[in-house]
Amino acid sequence: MMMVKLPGYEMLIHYLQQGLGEKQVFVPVSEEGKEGHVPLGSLNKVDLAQMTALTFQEKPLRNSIKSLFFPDTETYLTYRKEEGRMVMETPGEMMSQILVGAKACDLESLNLIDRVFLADPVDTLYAEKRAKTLILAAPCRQQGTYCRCESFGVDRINPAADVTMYQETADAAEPLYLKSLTPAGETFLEEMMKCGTEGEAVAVTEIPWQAVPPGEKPLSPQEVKDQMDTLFEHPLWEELAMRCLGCATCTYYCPTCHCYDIRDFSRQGQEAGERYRTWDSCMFTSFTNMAGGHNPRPHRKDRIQNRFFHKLNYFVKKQGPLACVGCGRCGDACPVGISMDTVLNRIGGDRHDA
Amino acid sequence: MQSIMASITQSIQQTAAALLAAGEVDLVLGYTRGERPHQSVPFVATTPAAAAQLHWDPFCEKALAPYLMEESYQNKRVAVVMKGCDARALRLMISESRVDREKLVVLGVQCQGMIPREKLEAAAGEPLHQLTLTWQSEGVELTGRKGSQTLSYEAVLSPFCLTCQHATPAVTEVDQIIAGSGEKALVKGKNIPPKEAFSDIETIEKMGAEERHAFWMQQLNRCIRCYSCRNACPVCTCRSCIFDRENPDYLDAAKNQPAQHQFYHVIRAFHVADRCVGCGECARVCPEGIPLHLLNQKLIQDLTQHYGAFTPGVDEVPNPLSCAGAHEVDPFGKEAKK
Amino acid sequence: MMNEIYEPKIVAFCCNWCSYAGADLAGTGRLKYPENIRIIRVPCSSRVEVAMILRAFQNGADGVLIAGCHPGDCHYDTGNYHTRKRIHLLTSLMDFMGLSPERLWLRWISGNEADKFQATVTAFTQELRAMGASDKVRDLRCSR
Repeated sequence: MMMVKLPGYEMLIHYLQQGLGEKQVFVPVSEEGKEGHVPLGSLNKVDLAQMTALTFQEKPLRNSIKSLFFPDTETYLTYRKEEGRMVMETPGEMMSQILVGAKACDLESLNLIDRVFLADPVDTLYAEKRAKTLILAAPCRQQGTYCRCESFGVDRINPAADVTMYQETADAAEPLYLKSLTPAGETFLEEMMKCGTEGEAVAVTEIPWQAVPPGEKPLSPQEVKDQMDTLFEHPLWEELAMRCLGCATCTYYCPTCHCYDIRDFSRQGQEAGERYRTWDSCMFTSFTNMAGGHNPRPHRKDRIQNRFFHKLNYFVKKQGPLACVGCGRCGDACPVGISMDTVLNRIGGDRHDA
Repeated sequence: MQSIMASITQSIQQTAAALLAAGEVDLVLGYTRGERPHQSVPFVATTPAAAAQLHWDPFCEKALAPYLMEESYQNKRVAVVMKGCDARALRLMISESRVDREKLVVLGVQCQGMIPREKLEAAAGEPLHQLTLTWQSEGVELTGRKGSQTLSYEAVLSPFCLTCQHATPAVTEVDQIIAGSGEKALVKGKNIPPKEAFSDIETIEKMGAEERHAFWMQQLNRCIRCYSCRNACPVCTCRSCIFDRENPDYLDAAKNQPAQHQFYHVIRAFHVADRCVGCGECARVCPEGIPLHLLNQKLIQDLTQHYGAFTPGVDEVPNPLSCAGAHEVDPFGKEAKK
Repeated sequence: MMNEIYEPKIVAFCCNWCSYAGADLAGTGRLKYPENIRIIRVPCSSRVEVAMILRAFQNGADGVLIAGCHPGDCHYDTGNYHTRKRIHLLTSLMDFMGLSPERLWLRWISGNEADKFQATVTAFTQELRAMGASDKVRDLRCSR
């Protein structure tokens, strides 16, 4: 473990900018209502105050980090006919990337997706991105207003990243402390100390940063799973179905949702095309539509029920943990205000009432 | 103003409870308080006791008309709380045989205009959960940690409501008007012309073609194809949507192709061009904050300018794009005058 | 390469009763017009919906021509009035979105106006050549 003190956020960005040729760097940005990680190289102007505020705010960014590992549209292969033979090409190797400003819940969501995509058969596109991404995360001093990370057992104070970032106040001019947690993180800090930050970056033995300890007891996945088993026939699902719009907002913003559809693109008369995947959503009718026209989840009730059962029951049965990190994005984005809380408050009775 | 919100709420609750108790309807579709501060969400009451959860305030934005076409509402007698824009959409749905008016009890509310939560938060300069609101006659009084301030309704109301001419549903369209008592409206008889409320349109029109293209590319490229704009729209009433078809080659969900986003958004705007009731749901529900309503408002402005004013859901059908005649302008004759 | 003339692709939707006959007459009358055009016969110009136009652009068309009967001459009485209104609005919306509305033409060509058909296609081809290729409405996965 290595701890470093930088004079400010600017020094980190400055260092990262130097290495842009070899690495893709993603930083937190908010513009025109969109909040997410964008390539540092694409910015016309670096707004340090905003970047600092977004990094150290007590909630994750609106757009989850999953799209950096599992993009919403990703090409598997392209094909074309050449001299009577079909030629297929897969995408080349990706550039290593550095992600600045993730949150503990973001990292936990990656751990959950890992269980699915890194298990046999390994999703190689996802695995490559996981292996080639260095993550710098910032802890949350306290639980955000609409966050439920503590209930879902996420350690918001110690994000499982390569490097953790600390700052006393979210002020760009204040010193920035970095702590490595993995060998990759340590190498990153060593490199940074060596070039570009001479005299400015100093090794320290202590970081002056204090967090408010968690106040909520985590839910037991087993208990939630058992409770859900008794609720399959509950009228709640029809109630939610009468309010849900059937759009895909919740699933696309959810950091743990990872369903996708594989499609082929080709044009008549062109002997070329591509096979790609796009995010899919269990809230769409077409999600379970089968050849021949049968749809095992024909009603909106079935679909919304499946979404919550997948998070709170099926995933526990197959993988162990609950498939929710309590980030609150679904509730933020849903046009009719349905969130994980809506269900938890109902199934938990008095125990979990807000 | 507190009195009118409270009295409308009370009146909705009483009417709903009476309808349910008498067995005249199977359910009442209205609004209740959401989990987030100053949020109201759609709510279905099926028992007289549940009617006490019905609520009315300037956050009841969600258009309720689209629900009436959903499977869960079929073969049921439904009472529905409706704002002016919703009632206009309902009238279109009836004229298109999408719903059976006989099975509906429409409770028209004297709508005072809706307040977008983000707009309120931005104007207040403080997170919503820290704010207590009091409806005064001259504006909304916000009490937060930074003290207390009063904002005029013009400053916080949705631009759609500022231009709205039909806030209260027409008496002929509803079974009952729920007016409430107290001050009449948040914006007292002040209607801002659409050109002023949607000044972005003029700004965009003044840009050069390349700049306009760049602007819309930036906006539309954010689209994640969640289809919430389509699903929330009270006049998007096709039973089966072109975008739900399986794999036609010109329609796919590749999100790295601007042409695919353009295709979706042009078609969406066009399909409701002459039926848009200006409720603003498309822009409100968009999680990426794409100003989709500008496309529709632009089409409305063009229709009005070239083919005369038409108010969908108020004026008699046929709608402007369902009829055409010799008397209309011909921009394509004489080898398309430049 | 620099001096090579760009040959645009034009998709033309021709109404069965007038414009298609006009194109036919141009053929039998041996009136030469640029081969950049691909004609699709439609029962009426009003059959052409917005999706068809955008789809043509998406697939790599540089221009879309819709040709119908002169106002007042529609085989179905009012079909071309609908076309006129729809394309008028679409042109305006495309302009608003910066999507090169000058690449979409609607013209009235009757069954005996072979010369007008020839002139229209020639003029459109020339204008599109001058404009060159555009990626604004094209699905980039399609070759031109």
